[in-house]
Amino acid sequence: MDNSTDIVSAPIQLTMELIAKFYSALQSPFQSVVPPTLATVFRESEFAWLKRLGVNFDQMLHTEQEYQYLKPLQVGDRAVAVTPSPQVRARSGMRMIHLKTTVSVKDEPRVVCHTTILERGVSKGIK
Amino acid sequence: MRGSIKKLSSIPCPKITREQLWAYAGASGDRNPIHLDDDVAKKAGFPSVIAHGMLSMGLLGSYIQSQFPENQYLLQSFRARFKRVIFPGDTLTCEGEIRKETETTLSVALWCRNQVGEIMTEGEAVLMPLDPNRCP
Repeated sequence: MDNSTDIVSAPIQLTMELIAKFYSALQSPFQSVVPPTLATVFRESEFAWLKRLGVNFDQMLHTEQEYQYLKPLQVGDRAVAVTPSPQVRARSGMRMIHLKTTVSVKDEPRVVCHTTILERGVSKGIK
Repeated sequence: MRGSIKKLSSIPCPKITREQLWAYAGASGDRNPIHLDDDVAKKAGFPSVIAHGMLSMGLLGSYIQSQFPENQYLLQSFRARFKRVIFPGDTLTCEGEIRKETETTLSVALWCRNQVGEIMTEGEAVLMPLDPNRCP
């Protein structure tokens, strides 16, 4: 099915170096397994949607995040993220944006990511 | 321990620093200047740069790994709500409790508190024991 509203991220190779850098940034002991929140590196497609929606990044708050792990990501995997058109709700000068991203390896879904963003200070003209 | 709530051990994290925000920006790819540039953060109404919400979720992820080793438990879902803004200088402590246990799943509540006891980020994780006879 060709869904041309999807945004696809560039593939990312999950190298040991990338994983070590992630553990180091968390100041957590290194483990040779993919950390639970590593899927955050696949947010390129989400940021692209937020730019497309004209979100003001200075007024944006990440309010909630959820991961559903269908099958573990592993060191060595080359993964791609696909984000379809987000759900947007606007009211009272704010926009609540929900993005759903599927991270897959060789077309096999591994992690489903649900990201909720709140944009404050939205003018009435923006939907 | 089926049927009762079991508290997990608390684990303090190193103080959040600006250097860590830069490191996390590089590692995660989230280089939003609100985390890196005080001027941008102040224009957004904050007194200084703010930590990535995902940094706190990452710390809770490490907490999950410490409490439920990967060779014993399979993480099935993990959710977090970023309740309060975290700033450099804050010290977070990760805490949790097992709320429910069935034959095949553990439901765990997780949170991190700051140095004055406020809950900054809270969430839930569902794990599957790889050895069903094992009790944490």
